[in-house]
This record gives sequence, structure tokens and C-alpha cells, in this order.
Amino acid sequence: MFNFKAILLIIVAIVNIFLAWIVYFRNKKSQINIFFSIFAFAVGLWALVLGFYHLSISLNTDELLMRSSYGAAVVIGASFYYMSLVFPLKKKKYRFTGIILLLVSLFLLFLVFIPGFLVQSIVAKNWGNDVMLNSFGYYIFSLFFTLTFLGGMIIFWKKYFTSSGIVAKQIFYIVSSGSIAGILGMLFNLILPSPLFHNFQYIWIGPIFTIIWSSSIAYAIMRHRLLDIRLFVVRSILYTLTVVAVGMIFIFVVFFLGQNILGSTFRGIILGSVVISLGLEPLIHFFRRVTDRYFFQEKYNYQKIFRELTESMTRIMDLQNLLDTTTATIKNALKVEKIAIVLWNNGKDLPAEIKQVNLNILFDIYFSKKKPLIKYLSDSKMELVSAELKIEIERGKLRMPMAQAESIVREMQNLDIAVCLPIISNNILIGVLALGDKQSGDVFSIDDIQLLNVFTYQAAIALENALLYKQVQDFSKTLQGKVDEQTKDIRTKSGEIEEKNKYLQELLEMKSDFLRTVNHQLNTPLSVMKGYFSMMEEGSYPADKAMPSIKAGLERISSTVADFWDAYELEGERMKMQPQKTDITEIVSRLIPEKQKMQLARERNLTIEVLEPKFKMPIVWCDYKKIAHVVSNLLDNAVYYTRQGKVTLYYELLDDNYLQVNVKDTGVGISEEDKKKLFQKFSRGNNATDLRPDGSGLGLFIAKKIVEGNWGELAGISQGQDKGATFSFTLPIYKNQQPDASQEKPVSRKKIVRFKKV
Amino acid sequence: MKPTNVMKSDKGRILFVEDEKELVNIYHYFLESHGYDFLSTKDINEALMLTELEQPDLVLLDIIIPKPDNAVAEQGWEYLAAVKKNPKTKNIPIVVFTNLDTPQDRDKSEKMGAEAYIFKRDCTPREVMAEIANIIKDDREKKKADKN
Repeated sequence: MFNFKAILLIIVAIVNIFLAWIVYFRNKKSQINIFFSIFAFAVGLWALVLGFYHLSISLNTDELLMRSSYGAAVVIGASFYYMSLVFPLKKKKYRFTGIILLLVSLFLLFLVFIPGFLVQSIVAKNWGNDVMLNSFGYYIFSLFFTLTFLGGMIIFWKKYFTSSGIVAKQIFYIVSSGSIAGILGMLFNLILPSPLFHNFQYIWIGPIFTIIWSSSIAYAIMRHRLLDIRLFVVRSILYTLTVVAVGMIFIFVVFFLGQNILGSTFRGIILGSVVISLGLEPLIHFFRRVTDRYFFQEKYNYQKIFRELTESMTRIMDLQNLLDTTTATIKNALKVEKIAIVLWNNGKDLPAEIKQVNLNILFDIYFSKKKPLIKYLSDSKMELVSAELKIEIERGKLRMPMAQAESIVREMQNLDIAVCLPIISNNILIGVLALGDKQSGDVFSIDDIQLLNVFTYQAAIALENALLYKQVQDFSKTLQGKVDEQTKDIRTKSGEIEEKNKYLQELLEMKSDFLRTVNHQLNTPLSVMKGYFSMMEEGSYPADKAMPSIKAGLERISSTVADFWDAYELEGERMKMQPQKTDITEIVSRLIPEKQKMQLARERNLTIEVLEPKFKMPIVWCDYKKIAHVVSNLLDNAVYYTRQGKVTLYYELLDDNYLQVNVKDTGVGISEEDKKKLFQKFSRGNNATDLRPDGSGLGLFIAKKIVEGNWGELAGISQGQDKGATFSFTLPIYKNQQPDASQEKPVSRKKIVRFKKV
Repeated sequence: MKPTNVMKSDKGRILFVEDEKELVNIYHYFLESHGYDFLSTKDINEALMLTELEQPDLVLLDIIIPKPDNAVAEQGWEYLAAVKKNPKTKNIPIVVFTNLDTPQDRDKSEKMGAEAYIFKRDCTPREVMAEIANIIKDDREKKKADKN
């Protein structure tokens, strides 16, 4: 007879033993692995024994098998309890508990195999084999199993509350799957068969659910990441439910319909196969929907999110906009609070862009490519999950050096980052997508990571393009700036050129001024003289009367030409000073009477006076003749530009080093406009034409040059129009200055030079 | 000005190389009234010829002498160089009489063998006359001493 219960149980057994084998060989030294292997092996053995039991080979065999099943259950309870102690890491030594547990379970094992202690005999009944139990032995066994199972669950439960992250999730699934398997197992294999109910018909159901239990623990042990444990658990529940449902349907069809309606089991098998083959797919779909609804309430629509992301990546060119949109989409989809996208320019260590939401990344230095976190992402091009890495560190099984892992975990904690994914383009890290914890406190599932990985893969190009686009924009901005700058430069330069043009224009004007001045200065006295000469030639004018005028005309021409020559020399800075010890009062006392005799001074009745200094007049160091020229010039000016009042010359001692000579008048003063060009060549005040028609416009220019050539300064101040003016110049006080040796030999202005013949 | 073939005066014979007609007239009047033989020209070649033929006791030399085409040129220097090069004329004293007023011009005059330098603008004819008389006197004494 086809025994599907046996087959089902044997399959369950094989699965469990297989898990035990895998976990054991994964790490033979780990206690948790060893004890899980014992646990899973025992579970497998239990299922196997029950499977063979259902084959009903012989009553004696069944008796042994039943005893063995209880023996296996003892081992299950004991190993589960011990496992709860050492999971996830053995931190303390449980030697005492372990020995007690070992002794008790060994003792119980011994008792279980004693004939009559628990299983008295097997009796064949019309529905199958019935088991006769010793109530006392059974209660002892039940007590042990319940204690170990519930004890283990409680310990796990406690650990669930004290742990966090992935470990908490692992324990949660172990406990919940354990609860399902444990409750069903205890119901069908402990309570129903107990002497109270004495029902052995459903002992085959219990082992089936152990698959959920043992596989969830196996997964927790083997895969440190355990990201998709929920999915795994959900799927294992799904398949378990499916297997059970299929089994039920098959049983119903084959044994109930087949035997009672169709008339034979064989027909039932055919009908069952048809029903199952038709109904399997809708059934799985149904269970999937049910489990998904229960377990993945906040599950997002993967495709919809991905479509949104792709759409925004293709549509949006602007970097900022793109970053805003994508971070918002991911944030909403994965229900994370904190998210950041960091982008680098090629070849740069520091990031070019940091887009962060709710994260508090203050300095881009956190994302230097030299930092361990970024360096790892750049090198491995693999995502990093903080919690995973922590477990790796705890378990000492690392994909990188311990120090590196620790600093990465520290960095991620500091930045509040739970998951970090590299954004790779052309095998180079161009960016990082960083996410904080989920709002629900849930861990990231494989689906999440997969979505993010696909996103980063897709986003790489879009982000790189956007970054490039931004750079181009920035560059063109910079370029525009440069162009503007250059244009400004050119404008400035053209301004300079304009200024130069203006200057040249001024020069031209000056030249014409000059020529006009020359014309006037030279021609006026010439025409005057010519006039006198004509008069004398006619004999109508006495020569002695003409003489002074002719002489004055000659003087004027002579001095004008001398002035022009001086100006020419000064322009080329060729005028050499011949400084000597000079008593300035000597110059002044010689000049004052001269000026007082000036026709204009007499006409205007001007007072020309010198204030005696209240200090001892120092000897100054200057070119005597040239300074005399300056003093003369200033006094002349004062006389020319003063219609009434007086001209005063006085001295001031500025400090130990300088004497100041001032020429003050009560004349027309200097207008603001004239002040600016006071000392310019050929510049003449607005009123100059009236007051000094014969001026060359060179006097003050030459005077200033001379004073400056004598280490002094010349300045003119005026309170304004008609308020008089004061011209002052300074000269250095003599303090053992020596004639400059580098100066050329003194320029001789001797009009006749006899050369000594060699 | 044509050279005069009158007997050489005791006072001496002066060649005035000058292009300014007014000045030539003034100095013609002054020099002749003081008993000098007076020769003048504004042509450099004619001046060289006159110097060699007439053997003046002194040459009053303007520097800025325009060329026949009126181009401004300092032809005086060329004349000076040519005179000093010619053995027949090299001992004739040359007085540079100019408005060029720089030390360089004075140095150049001295180096090229001029006897003296007179700044035209600042000097009255009387001063110039006095200087000429001195130079001729000194020159004659020197030549007399050389002969002995």
C-alpha cells in the first residue's frame, strides 16, 4: 500500500538530517553548530522513526521505533535548551548546566529504552497500531520535554529583548517558527497521545512543522546576514502548508473518494494526481497571498518603485532635482527616515555633491575616498550592511581585516548609516547611496538590497551624467565669468587707452598752448622793440627813452627762452642740482628789494615784507641758484596775482631736518579747479590771462621740479577764490651732507669757455 | 660774402661761418669797426676753401647751419673736423659760437680742437669782441714762441 504519511515523514527527516549535516560541516568547532546539528539530527531521527513506524513492518519493530522516537524527543528538548543558552554566541561557559542537562537526558534516554517504563506495548488496531503507554513514565518524559522546550523558548525570548538588529530578528523567527512547530508538535505528539486522550492517529503531523523550525535556526546560524530570513520563513511556511494541504487533498481523494465512491485506490490516485496537478498552482498562489499579507504588510511594489526611479532618472537632467526625486522615492518606498547620496568627481578624494535627508553630515571629509568605509565600497564594489558587519566582527568571520571592519562599523554608526551601496560607473566608484535604519526597526531584506543594487546600477549613469552636466554648467558659468572678466579687462584697457588718448590730446593741446605761449612771449617784446626801433629810425623818438623798453623786451625774451629750456631739461630730468651750504636769508634779502622795485608792485602799492624768524635760521643744503630762482618765482607770482594788500615771506622750522619757506599773499587765491593743475606744465589759472598776460605757464612747474630735486616739497594752499594763497616749500637743513659723487661734473652755464690747450 | 682781397689787417682776419643774416650784419659792423678783416659765408664748402686760401686768424663758427636745401643740420661739426684734419688749416683757432647749450656740445667742441666755446644767446657782441681779441693775441704769442 502506498504510505504517503511515511514518505512525508521520511522527506522531513531527510531535510532535517541534511540541515544538520550542512550546519555541522560549516563550522565543526562552533558549539552552536554542533548543538544545532544534534538538534536537527534528532528532529530528523524523530521524523524518520515515525516514518518507519507508519510503514508498520512488525509490532516488535514498531515498539522499538516508538521508543526511539521518544528518545529522539529527549535529545531534541535537551539540545534546544542548550542551544538557547549559547545562541547567538557562547559568551559564558555553561559547564554545570550542560553536565546536568547531559546527565538528565542520558538518564531519561536510558529510561525511555527500558521496556515498560514509557512504551509498554504496541497493539494493532483496525485504524493502525495503537501504543500502550505507562502513565508515570509518560509524565516524566512530558515534564522533561515541556521544561526544556519552554525553557529554551523563554531564554530565546529574553535574548530577543536584550539584543538588537539582525540578532533580534533571528531570534524572533526562531521563536516564532519554534512556537508553530512546538505547539503543533506538542499538540499532536505529546498531548493527544497522552494517556488522557490516547490518540496516536495524528503523530505524523508534528514532525512536518519542524522543517520551519530547524531551517530557520539553520539559516540563523549559517547565514550571518539573515537579511531574507523573513522571506525564508515565510516561504518555508508556505511550502509546508502547501505540502500539508496537498497531502490532505490527496488522502481525501485517494482514500475517501477512491475507496468509497470510485471503488478503487488506484482510480483515486489518478483522480488525486489530476486534482493536485490542476490545483497546485492556485493553491501555492493562494498561500503566498495569505502569507505575504500577513508577513509583508508594508511590502512595496517593487516594479512600481523601480519604474518611478527609472522614469525620473531618464527625465531629469538637473542634478539637484534628480537627487531630490530619487532620494524621496527610495525613502518612501523603503520607509527609511535617513538617506543620502554622495557623488564624487573623477579623481577627487572629497565628494562633489552630498544630498542628505535627515542625516547630519556636516563635513564632506566624512566621505573622503581615503576613509575606510568609502575605500571598502570603492575596492569591493559590494554593499555594506552595518548590522551584518557587526555580526561578522562578533563571530570573527570577516571578509576584511578586523581593524578595518571595526572602523567601518564605527563610521557607519557615527553617520547613522545602516546600509551603504556603492554607485559604480566604468568600474570606478562615482557615488554612494547610504540609508539609515527603517522606520519600523526592521532589517533590510534581500529584496530591499536587490532593489537598491539595481537602482544604484541604473542610477550610476544618470547621476554621472547629471554631475557632468552640472560641471559643464558650472564650467560655462566659470567661462562666462572669465569672459566677463576679460571683457572687463578689455574695457579697462580700452579705458586706459582712452585715458592715454586723452593724455595725448592734452599733450597736443599743451603743445598748441606752448606754441601760442612762445608766440606771445617772444613776439610781443619783439613787436614792441620793432616799434621803438621804427620810431627811432624816423628820428621822432629819442633813443634814451626807448632804451629801457627795448632792454626789458630783450630780458623778457631771454628769460622766456631760458624758462623753456629749463622746462625741457626738467622734462628729461636732466637738470642736475649742485647742492651747497646755503643761507636762505641771503637769497631773500637780495630778492626782496628787487621785487619791491617791480613796476607792478609799485603801481598796486603792495607791501612786500619778510617776517624775521623767532628761531636761529639754519643753513640749508640746496642748489643756491636754482632755489633763488624758485623764491624769485614765488614772489613774482605773489605780486602778479595780488591786486592789493601785501606779500609776506616767513620761515617755519618743521623739525630738526627741514626748513619751510612760505610766501603768503592777499591775492586772488586759487580756485578748486585750478588747484588740480597748479603744478602742471603750461597750466595757467583761469584769471592768469588777465593778471599775468606774459606768463609761460611754466613757473610753478619748474619751481616744483627744482624743489623736489633739492629733497624738498612745494605746495600751494588757498582758502579759495579771493582769499589769498600761500606757497610753501621745504629744504633739508644742512647736516654734513656731501656733494653727490656720482653726479656729473657741475654744469657750467658760463657763456664763454676757453679750452685749455693740451 | 665775397672774400675781400684787401691787405691783411694787423688786428687780424676773422671768418664768420653763420647762416643768420642779421647776426652776420651785426658782427660785420662790429668787427670791421674794430679794425678786423671780416669774411663770412653760410656755405660749409666755401668756408673750408676760404679758410685754406685766406688763412684767417680766427674762425667764428656757428654749428647749426642748414644745408642748401634748408634741412636743419649741424654742419659746423663737419667743418671743424675738416679744418683740423687739413695741415694747412689745423692751427687756425676756431671759436664755436652757438646756441647749443649742453655740456656734451661743449665737450665735443673741445675734443674736436676748438679754441673756445661761446654761448651765443647770453653774449653781447662786445663780450664776443673781447674774447676774440684775447684769443688772437694768445695765438700769436704762442706761434711766436713756437718759431723761436
